[in-house]
Amino acid sequence: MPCHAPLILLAEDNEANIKTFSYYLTSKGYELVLARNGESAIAQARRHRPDLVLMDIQMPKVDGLEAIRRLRCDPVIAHSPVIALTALAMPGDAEQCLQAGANEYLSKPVRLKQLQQAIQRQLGAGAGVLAPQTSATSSPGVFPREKL
Amino acid sequence: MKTANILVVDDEPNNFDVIEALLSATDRAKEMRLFYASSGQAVLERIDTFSPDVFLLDVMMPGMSGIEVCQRIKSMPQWRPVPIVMVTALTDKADLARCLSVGADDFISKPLNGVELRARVQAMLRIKRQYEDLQTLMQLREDMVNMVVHDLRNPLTSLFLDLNLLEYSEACVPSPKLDTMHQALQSLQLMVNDMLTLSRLETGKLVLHREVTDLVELGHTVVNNFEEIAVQKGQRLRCQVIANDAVTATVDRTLMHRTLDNLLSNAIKFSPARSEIVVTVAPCASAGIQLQVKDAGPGIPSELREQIFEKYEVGQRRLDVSQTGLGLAFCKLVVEAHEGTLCVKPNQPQGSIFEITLSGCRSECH
Repeated sequence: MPCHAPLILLAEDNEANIKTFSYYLTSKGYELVLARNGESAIAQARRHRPDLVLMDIQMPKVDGLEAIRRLRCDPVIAHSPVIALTALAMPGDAEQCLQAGANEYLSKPVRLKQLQQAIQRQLGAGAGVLAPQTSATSSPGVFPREKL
Repeated sequence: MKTANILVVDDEPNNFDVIEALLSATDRAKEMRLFYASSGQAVLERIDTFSPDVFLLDVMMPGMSGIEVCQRIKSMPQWRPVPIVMVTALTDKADLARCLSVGADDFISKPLNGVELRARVQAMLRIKRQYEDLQTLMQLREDMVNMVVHDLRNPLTSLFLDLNLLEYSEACVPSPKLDTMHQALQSLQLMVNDMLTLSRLETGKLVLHREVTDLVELGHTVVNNFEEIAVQKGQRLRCQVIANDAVTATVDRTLMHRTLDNLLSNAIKFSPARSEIVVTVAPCASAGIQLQVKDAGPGIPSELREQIFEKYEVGQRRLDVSQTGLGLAFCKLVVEAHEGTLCVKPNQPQGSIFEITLSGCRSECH
């Protein structure tokens, strides 16, 4: 664990969820930066280099999947673990998220306890370079650690 | 069914985890969405964002206590109907009573029991739904009343016209019946107009047409209009002006006229024969004006002095007097639309004084 409070980028456009997640996660000792659409998520990630990204998939402008793909292509932030959040639990959703480069996938409504456990898991797993869980990823040069 | 938003307010997020786990362990979990706020301030700032259907509010919080948060939420008209369940480690009956007295709808003790928590949340959601049903029903009733009142106006107008034509036609035999019909129609029309104005005032759709009005002249006009009726009842009407100059104010003349009509007509209805009814007009402090209608009727008991201004409230029913219970509600709304106050005080030795106080609308005397 880093000695500073882990910094999480929350990319989400629903205000009630934003507030709930931020009150909860800051009370649990995390620090938060916010983005309300995919475009701003990419910009905020570059600027703050968060320890982890929580990415809502249904967002205006650039959607979450596209934002994750772009994050994965940016060498500065490609290593940050990404947890994808999606409201539509459609079959194939999980694969899509993981293919885009998310490390983990939670369907909404998310139980906050489970969210926090997922965050802990991801922060604990990737102290340095962290690969997407799926083998289908095309990110070159990233070692698929989970496969070992 | 629409999902219910449940807002959990607790400074300790682990307590939220407990509630989340307990509420998720049920078939009905899909009908609920849980939201979290970590302090009272957070709730009060963000209440619109969460749009909760039920609050689960921790009592012991640093900063603003749950009791205070509860009190604040209940003071906001928009959120008052949303049930609040206080979550508390307190067991002292006096503390629990205090929660209820500041407006909490229920409480539940820590450590939380899942069966009890789910049952209480469901019960509160039921109350919330009943409240919403009631709101819908009230709105429907209001709309219907407005529609009916609106539709009444057309036949009334044509009756009026026909009656006038009849009266002026050569074939018409003069009859006191025609006068009675005329009077009845007139009072029907005034009543319908008042109801329309009332509903417009209530929905904020009425725009006051303010104009500089000589209230002394208005007082005399109102008194003159009722002279005949008062004489029939053997009463004396008087307009008393407590000022040397003209008393003018910027008000909606038509509405103010109707208000005084209503008050004076009440005074005549309720006062006995051979009594005196006085309308007074007087300037008062800070560019204000006071208008009073003093009667010699039975007076209003102190416990009813607020109530009689409610719609459809007739105070004590009097068999000899027709009452719709709209007149005073109308007067109060009109006066309040002018940022004034209307109240009732006992008259000496007997009767009531209805007092309109208008502040800051007195025009400069020229």
